[in-house]
Amino acid sequence: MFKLEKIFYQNNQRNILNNLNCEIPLNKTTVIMGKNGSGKSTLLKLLNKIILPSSGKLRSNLKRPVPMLFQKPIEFENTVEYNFLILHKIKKHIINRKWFDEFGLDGIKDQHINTLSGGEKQKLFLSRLMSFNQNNLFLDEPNQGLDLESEKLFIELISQEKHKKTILITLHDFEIAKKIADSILYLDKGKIYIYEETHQFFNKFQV
Amino acid sequence: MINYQKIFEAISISLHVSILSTLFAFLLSLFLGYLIAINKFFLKKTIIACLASLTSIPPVCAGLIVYLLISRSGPLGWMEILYTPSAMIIAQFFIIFPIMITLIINYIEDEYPRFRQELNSYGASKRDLIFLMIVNKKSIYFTVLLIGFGRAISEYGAAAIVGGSIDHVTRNMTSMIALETSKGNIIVGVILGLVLISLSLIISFVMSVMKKKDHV
Repeated sequence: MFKLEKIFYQNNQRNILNNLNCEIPLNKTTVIMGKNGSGKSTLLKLLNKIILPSSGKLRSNLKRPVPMLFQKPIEFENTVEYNFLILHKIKKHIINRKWFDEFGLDGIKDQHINTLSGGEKQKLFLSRLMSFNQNNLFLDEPNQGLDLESEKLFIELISQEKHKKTILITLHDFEIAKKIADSILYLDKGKIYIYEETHQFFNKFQV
Repeated sequence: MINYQKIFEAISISLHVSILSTLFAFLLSLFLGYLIAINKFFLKKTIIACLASLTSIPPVCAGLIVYLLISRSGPLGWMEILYTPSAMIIAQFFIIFPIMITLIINYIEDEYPRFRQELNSYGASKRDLIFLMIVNKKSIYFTVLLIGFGRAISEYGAAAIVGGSIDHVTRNMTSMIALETSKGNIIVGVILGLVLISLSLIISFVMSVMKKKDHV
């Protein structure tokens, strides 16, 4: 479980997160939503211990950060296959190719990354992360650039993972959130505006 | 009568001196660039600002400084390298090193925070991080090399001051152009000028290809 107690985070004298108090359960899918600049990505990084809070306490089972999907993941000037495998040189792990194959990347594995569209790159970054078989997933706007068909596939694939893993996702799309979230945490100007189980959230929020 | 042997000699001296000065400057820029960009220390900003302002150092001044250092009465006079290709390499190094290291520092400072955050989540060590940053955009380093080489091979003042334009030893393309033109051998100047222009065109072409490759 992630337990946040009076969490504040400041960057360049600007308050990004303001007095967050909540508990995020394990083995559930929690979607973090909110407008641009509301602190979603910062909260995700903080939960993954990539950044530390300016003040307050974060209790969690995580000892150190785990691989996560960033909004602008690192691209290596090389082929799709190279980009998929290169990070396994740092973190040795049995490679799970399921997402890579499902997204049809095997057919373009020898293409240079610079020839891919934004959506294809996003599929590659998602597949690269999922190749590590982690129990905790931190995904920052995983659907960016995906077309409707790929988005549908993403929902299907993440739904297959969600029962056995703790998943934290930032999203803008309420429809996707409705399909995959067990609970939704809505941030507004760095504060928790609503944090409810999905059906209650949609009852209250009337999106 | 055109002495082609002398022309080839000048081209070979230019290439030898410029390739070596570029390689030395590049290796030191890479090493110090990373060291400066990824560490926090006192006077960091001042050092970066000084390096940036040295990018526009006039070649003649760089030559003069190197001359004062390596002339017989200078602190490095004991090395006895004045009017040798080694002196020209050092002078060119002084001109291109600030340019190359500033470009490398700018690139690393832009990319490092993103790399650190993402790769730390994979448990990367600082060594892994630097290795992956280097292999990530090889074209950046290639561009830095080409910019350095282009500047080194085309400069005149510094190499002339410390090299002395000695026949068969330190007479490179630029000093030969100046000398032969002043003697009225315009055709030799034109031939060497064309070689220099061709080299710079090749460098520009390769750089634009690398740039295109970056933005496909």
